[in-house]
Amino acid sequence: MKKVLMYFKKDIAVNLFVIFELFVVTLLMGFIIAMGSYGKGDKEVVTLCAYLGVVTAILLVMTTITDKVVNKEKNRYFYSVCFSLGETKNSIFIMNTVKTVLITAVALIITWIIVPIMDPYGDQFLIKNKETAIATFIVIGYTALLIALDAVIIYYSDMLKDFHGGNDNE
Amino acid sequence: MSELIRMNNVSKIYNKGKSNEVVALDSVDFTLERGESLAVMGVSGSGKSTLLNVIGCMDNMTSGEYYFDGKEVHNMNDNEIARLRGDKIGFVLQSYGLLPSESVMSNVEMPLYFMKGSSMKDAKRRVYTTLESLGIEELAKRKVKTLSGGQRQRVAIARAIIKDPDIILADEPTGALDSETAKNTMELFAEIAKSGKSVIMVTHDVNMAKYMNRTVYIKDGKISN
Repeated sequence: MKKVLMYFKKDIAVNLFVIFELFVVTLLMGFIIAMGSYGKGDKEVVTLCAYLGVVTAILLVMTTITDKVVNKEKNRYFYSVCFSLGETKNSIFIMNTVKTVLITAVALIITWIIVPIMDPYGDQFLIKNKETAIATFIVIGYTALLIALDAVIIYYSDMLKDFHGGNDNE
Repeated sequence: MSELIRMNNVSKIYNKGKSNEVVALDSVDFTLERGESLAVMGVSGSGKSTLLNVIGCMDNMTSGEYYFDGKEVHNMNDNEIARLRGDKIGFVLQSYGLLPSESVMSNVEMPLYFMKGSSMKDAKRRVYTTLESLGIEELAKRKVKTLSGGQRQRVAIARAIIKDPDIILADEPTGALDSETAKNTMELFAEIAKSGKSVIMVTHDVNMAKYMNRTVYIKDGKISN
């Protein structure tokens, strides 16, 4: 557990931001699915869904960029330090996967707590459980994509080069 | 003294079989006794860092035999190599290899996270004992990024020795330090060697090499005494 915390703690601001983004993405997806289901054929609803879809897509791209691109060097340096201290690449991948799953779980738990508050009377135009469940599965799929990206970064990283690159990356 | 490291006919070839093939280590035969301190000297690109990385199990050799404390490293799997690297070998780098945004305590404690059977209560005590032995216990709560180069190098040494490894591998450990701090750091390495640990230090500074018991030279991937 201490090890997972260490992986989470090293980029706490980024991780909190990713949790927030995934939370918003799940809410938006649920909202789009609900709107799409109940407003079939309504041009205004379709247009609104399209706009929200674009916003969601942008958020997902932002999440990937924040988590995997902006922090790439920093992450690789961290992995390399762990590697030099006795971690295997497999162990680094597992720890990182646990961290990513925890981040997604936290985002989804928050969403599932917020959803009933937002839709206490089952209003058709607000997010309902079924829609949130669909959104949840989409976000879990997206998380799997993030984990796959991690695998590429970890297994195709030259740990030595990153490690000797110095801590300017941090 | 007993033999800690033996390398027989070890080669390391980058991009083997390609047009940009580089022979970094060329049929190296090498031994190191337990408690011996050794300086590896050579010009840039001669293969000295590659040798250190192969000894430290950070990099795989292309061919040859490598024995660490009698164990066949060349026949080990990734998990066994990682355990050897974590438990028996400590690294000290010119660029420190620390996490600057973390505290000294967290950095020095880090290797213990990867050690089986290490309790966190015991870890704190070990960190303080190690920091005390290097005279930097008052830095425990400071963030690494607020420390001077000399202080960072001491923290890196503390992290390297906390697991009580058999050998410390240092790659240009004084390269980023001023002459006085470099001298103090070398005295520290000499003390570590006197305490019975083996030390291998890569350097291109002959004054730093003098602190070690023995010096070898490496040129075009070949070692000479």
